[in-house]
Amino acid sequence: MEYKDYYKIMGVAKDASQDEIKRAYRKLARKYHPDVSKEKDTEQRFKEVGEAYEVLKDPEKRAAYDRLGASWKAGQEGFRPPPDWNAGFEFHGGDSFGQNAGAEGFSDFFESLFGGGGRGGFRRRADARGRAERGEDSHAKVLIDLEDSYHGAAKSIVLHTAALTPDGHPHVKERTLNVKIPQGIKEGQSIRLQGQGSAGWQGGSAGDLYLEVGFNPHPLYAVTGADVSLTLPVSPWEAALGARIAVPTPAGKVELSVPPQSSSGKRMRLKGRGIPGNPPGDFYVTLAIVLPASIGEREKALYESLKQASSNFNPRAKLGV
Amino acid sequence: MISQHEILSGVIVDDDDPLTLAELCASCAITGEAVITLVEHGIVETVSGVDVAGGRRVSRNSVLRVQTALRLQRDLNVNVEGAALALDLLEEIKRLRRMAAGLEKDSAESQ
Repeated sequence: MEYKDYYKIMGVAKDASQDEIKRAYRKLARKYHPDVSKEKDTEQRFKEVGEAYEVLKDPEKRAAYDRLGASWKAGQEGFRPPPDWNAGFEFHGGDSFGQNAGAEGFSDFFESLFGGGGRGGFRRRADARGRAERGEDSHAKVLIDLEDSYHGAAKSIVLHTAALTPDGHPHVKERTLNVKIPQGIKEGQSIRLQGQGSAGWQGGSAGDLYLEVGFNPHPLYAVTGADVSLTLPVSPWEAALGARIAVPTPAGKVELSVPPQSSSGKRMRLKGRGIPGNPPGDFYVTLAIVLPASIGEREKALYESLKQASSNFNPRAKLGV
Repeated sequence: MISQHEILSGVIVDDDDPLTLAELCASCAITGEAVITLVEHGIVETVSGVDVAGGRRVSRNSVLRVQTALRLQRDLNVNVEGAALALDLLEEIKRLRRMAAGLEKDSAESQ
């Protein structure tokens, strides 16, 4: 088990005031909240910050933690708190326990220090209900590739949910689901999986799981809604003379007729070749004229001839130069 | 108990599958009064149409908005007005990020 440096996690000095700690928490909570943040691992970071604040905001826990830290050496592996490390400290209250961690459970390190009695406020419902009630819906996010939307796919996702052990301790439960990704799903849409949310009470049915779908960045394509676009490099002679060019799409290669005298930036539409659906999206190709990395002497001479033959053409005429 | 190999199928959430207010309460574990407040602040969108009980129905998308609003309230102490504003801004930000990602890609590839 790893020692956690709560001061480092919160970015405050070891002698920070309680006010400074509260301010730091508020700033970091806004920064890493999973609904707001686009940073990587936001849920993990948000949990860490919440756990650090849970300890540092309470003068009793903070003092106990500080005393423990004094006997830990940096780089030491395998942390284990000495048996009497919290002797003499009493932990009061517990009504807001678990709130700052977002009801997701604390790390093993925290549990080994502060685990035990005094937990309240973990459950969202205050009293046990007498009647059967449907469980709450829950939500998660899954990342897929564009090709998964074109063809449909099956994706395995790991969910972490807060749960209580039989003797009432909160812990994080992990479960794996295999989910069918429907063909034609677009970024930002959600899939509703019935009965995969929180369990019901007193025999009530389970809630649903809402899975929000996001797309992994694609090396070739950009996606807007159901439309997919690609920048297609073409040679100067293909653009000038026209050509039939093989174009990759997520559904396979397509042949495109580039008309003669096409300029860079010309946009061509392949109707219905975007994300499948009713109606399907479109596939857009934007031409980009590119030159070879190096031009030999013969090519240079030919370009010079071309330059002489095209002396009437001023590409910057509209700029007034 | 779901076997490791079973593949679960779901339904894409869209406006064709509205819920009653009671279903929204159960889904998000909130009271009827809370739902009324959320409707008044535009966090929950009601959909028009005939339904059996004569009561109002809300879009399925509302469930996602309410879940986000509840998390903002629980974790960041945001009030209802703030949550409504935050939801609108978050949706606009997502839309702009998708647009920007497309533009960045185009510009990188034409260099």
